[in-house]
Amino acid sequence: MERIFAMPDLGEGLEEGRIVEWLVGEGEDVALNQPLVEVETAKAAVEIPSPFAGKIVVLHGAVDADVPVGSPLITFDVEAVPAPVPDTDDGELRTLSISAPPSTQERRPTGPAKATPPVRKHAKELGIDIETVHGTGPDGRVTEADIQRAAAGEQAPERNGMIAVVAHQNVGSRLEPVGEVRRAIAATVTTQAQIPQVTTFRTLDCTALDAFRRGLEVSPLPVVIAALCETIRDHPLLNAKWLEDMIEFRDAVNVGLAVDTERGLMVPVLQDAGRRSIDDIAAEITRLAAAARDDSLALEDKLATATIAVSNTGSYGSEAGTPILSPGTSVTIALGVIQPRPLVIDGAVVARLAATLSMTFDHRVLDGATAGRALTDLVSLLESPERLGGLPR
Amino acid sequence: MTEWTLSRALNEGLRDALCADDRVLVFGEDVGISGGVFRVTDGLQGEFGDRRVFDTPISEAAIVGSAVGLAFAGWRPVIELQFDAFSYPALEQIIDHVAKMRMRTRGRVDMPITIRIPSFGGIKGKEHHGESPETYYAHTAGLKVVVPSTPLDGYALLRHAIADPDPVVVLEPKARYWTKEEGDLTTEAPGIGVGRVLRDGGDVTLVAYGSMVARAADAATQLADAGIEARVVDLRSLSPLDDDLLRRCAEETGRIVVVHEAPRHVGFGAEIAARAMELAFDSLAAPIARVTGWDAPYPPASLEDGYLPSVDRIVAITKETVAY
Amino acid sequence: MAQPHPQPPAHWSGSEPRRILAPDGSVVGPIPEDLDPAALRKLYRWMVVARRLDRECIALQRQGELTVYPGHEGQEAAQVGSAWALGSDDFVWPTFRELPVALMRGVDAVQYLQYHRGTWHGGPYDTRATRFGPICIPISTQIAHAAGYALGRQLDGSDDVTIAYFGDGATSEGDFHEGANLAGVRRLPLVLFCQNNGWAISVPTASQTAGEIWQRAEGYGFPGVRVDGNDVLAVYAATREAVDRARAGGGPTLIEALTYRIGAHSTADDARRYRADPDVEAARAFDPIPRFRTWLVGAGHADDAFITSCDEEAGAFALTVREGVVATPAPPAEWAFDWVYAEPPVTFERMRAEALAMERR
Repeated sequence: MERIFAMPDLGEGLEEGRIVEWLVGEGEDVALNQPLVEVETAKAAVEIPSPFAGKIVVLHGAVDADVPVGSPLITFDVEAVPAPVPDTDDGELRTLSISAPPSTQERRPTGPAKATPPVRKHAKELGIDIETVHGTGPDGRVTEADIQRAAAGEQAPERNGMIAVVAHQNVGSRLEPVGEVRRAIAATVTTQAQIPQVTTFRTLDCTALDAFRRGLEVSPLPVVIAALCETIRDHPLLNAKWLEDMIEFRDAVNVGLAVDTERGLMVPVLQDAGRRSIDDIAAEITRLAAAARDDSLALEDKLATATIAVSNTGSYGSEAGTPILSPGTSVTIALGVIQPRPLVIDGAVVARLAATLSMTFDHRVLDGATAGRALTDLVSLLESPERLGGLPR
Repeated sequence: MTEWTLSRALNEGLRDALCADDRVLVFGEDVGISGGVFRVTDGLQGEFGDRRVFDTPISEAAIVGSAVGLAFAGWRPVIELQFDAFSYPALEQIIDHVAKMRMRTRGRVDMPITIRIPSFGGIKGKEHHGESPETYYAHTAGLKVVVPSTPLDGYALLRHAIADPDPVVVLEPKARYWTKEEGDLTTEAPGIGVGRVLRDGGDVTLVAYGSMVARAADAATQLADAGIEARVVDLRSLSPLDDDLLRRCAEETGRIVVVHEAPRHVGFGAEIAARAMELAFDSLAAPIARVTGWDAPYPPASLEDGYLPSVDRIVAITKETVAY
Repeated sequence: MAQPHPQPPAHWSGSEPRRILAPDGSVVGPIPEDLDPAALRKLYRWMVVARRLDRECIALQRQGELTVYPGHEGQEAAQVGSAWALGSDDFVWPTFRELPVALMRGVDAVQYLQYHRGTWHGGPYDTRATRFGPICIPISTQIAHAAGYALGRQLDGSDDVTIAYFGDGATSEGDFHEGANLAGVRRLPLVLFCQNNGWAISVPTASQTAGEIWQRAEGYGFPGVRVDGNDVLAVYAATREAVDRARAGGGPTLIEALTYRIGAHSTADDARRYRADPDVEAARAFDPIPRFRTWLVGAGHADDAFITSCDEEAGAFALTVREGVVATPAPPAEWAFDWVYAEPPVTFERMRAEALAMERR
């Protein structure tokens, strides 16, 4: 039967051997250990003895050929011999019992939240307490999407958002259960309130604004947003964000709009306001507000993050506000109610349409002076018919 | 109730082991009539004779090498290598033979050898008398490594080590030899491979062994005043390591601070950090902190305090970890 | 014309070694009286079997069946003569070159050769049953083991003797000194048997040490002996004396057996890089086997038929070993984990499961 003898590894990891001289010929009968060939390796010249007794059928490789270790060197024809029973065991073979490793991944329905470091960091930046977020990832892990949902004030899927009502006797008070959204809001504002923030105020003479917006048949809010975008060009810190030892300046202006809904305050994001016309902004505001109210915000709306926020507090009659910063922003503008007020113009008291414009700012990013200057510029723009006319329609 | 120092408790452990098994031998340098430089073998030669408790020449490699031969001859050697840094001449015998012999002989020959080494710093000692060699031994497959921190636990760990059919290196914190603890000596304590929670807490886990356990406990007391509830874990066993305890601490507290005397680079804290990360990555709320000796040779006595992790340093780094 | 006296190997210079048979087979010392003709013939047979197997192992390596093999050609008398002096309960602590001693202790050659086949480390045979320790690669460390084992027997009041084999190179290592010193201080029943074969891989003995190895014993407080290691009778006599002394409580002996490593350090070594072929050829004049054969036949203890039968038996044995070696498979992957601990920790079990799961993919 045919047996192939391959080039052996003659010296601890050699890769090949060069044929120096064949000591036998094809067709020749050879004895066990009879010298077959002289081979040169990187270390030395070595004579290889025959591993079998038999007939040489094929010599693989001419003189001076390099034969790689493991490739055929000689094909033999040997007598078939029953293979001896190998003595592999010296009596101590253990019965193998591989026990499955004990589970180290027990599911923990309670206990501290699980999340990867990037998700934790992002939650912190958004001002979300990760312990309150329901995790939908493997093993109850909180994912990026879970954080986004929490930021948008969304209810997480498959979760009953009601807490059990605790009945009290003889207290004379009443308890009301809170939904997921309110809980999320509470958590968010609690975290956000920890950012060092102050509010500065300006009285805005709305005469020019009012005339302008009526001409465009829009509400004041889209105009204020457009003006804000213009102001951001000269005051980029308004659209920036605190990141530990750095400040991140963002190009796009994504305006978080506070929208009051049945379920509570929601902040859908009007994306890339800086590139929209006032009409476009107005239409988008309408769309977002309606969608927020009937819970039909599109996916892009849900995933967007605000870079600055605007709150139309005047819409429910507030004259001035000290809005809390929205997650991810350094500035929130609040527009108070526009109504006639006594203003002093050229030394005389006159009745004018006016509103208080509030700017809450992150004191880590802006100082009073920088914030004040920006607000002054915004007010100047909004009080100037010529500059209003220059806003994109 | 008896009061025990660590040295006396270990001494009693050797005594009880010599009584319980007449194949136990105790030998090393100065362990005979002198009772050991830390008195851990005090009185043993008088009670058991110089056949079972004897002095050797100054030959660390032969002390360990002869233990290998004695194990072949059916004895159970409990040897002392006098100081941490002086165990190094025996490293070849420990790594190449003690740790490998069982596998080499396909389980026919056990190495029930216990190697006791007074280790670590904090005694204002001379050069080479304050080393932390634990990583060299823990890294060697086939060895087990334990580090007692208290008298009662020292007794239990030593008895477990001597009874173990596998070779065990016992690193005894020499700075703690004279600390006292009241109680009864017993082998009922958990065995090798199990850690111990000294103090529970939910905000952060301090993981320590040897002399650093007491410092971690002191730090935990201070941290409590600052409103931080720290869990304190005494590892007791470096190899094998109590994986399950580590995982639970990571999951339940989310923050881990490792304290060891040894230099930081490739110190045992690196293994704790890697293991905790592997077992409970999603539970980690902060990077795992290591409060360690510095990456410099162990300093002279007068600079020792700046080298070893102080309670203040542990507290400060733990606060940073909690605030992350 | 008289033959010129062959020059002995360089490292044989210095003190005259004990000798019974001269290199040409003539008698120059007292023939040991406790060796009957049957025993003498066995000594010859063992040396022939050992050499023939050595040649087979080199061939097996050249055929890829062994990875690296360290040959013992030229050292047969040193090993066979000393091993013959041991009692059945005496214990041997070898290096990696004591295949002849292993055979004489009853170690199965195929199991022994697993070491050189790479299918196991140096202890797959039962060391306690054969009284032959694991193959030891780290130089001189087995001397400390031997001292410990001898101590262990001494503590049990046994009269078993322990023998440690090592080469000239080992006497430079610390464990030789520490083990010998311990043996002297404790008066251990230990024979320290040094085969000074002239080479530690490529370093000749003259570069290894300035003194004569046998003389170091005096420094440790026990006798040292220099013997012609290629004279199987002298080796037997010296070892027997040392073994008897140890057994009677007389303490250790250091034997320096002068011999020559005919082959390279191992099949991975090219000896031509550091020694000349003529030197090796010159050393063949001191070959132990022809020398003993000449005397054995001349003294009437063996005839040509016996000599031939030894060759045949050696050849047959070598073939049997060859078949066994070639049929030895690689061990299952599990075996890498099976014997690490007597009581494997949970963490080890988990890792083993992980490793074996990887294997099975």
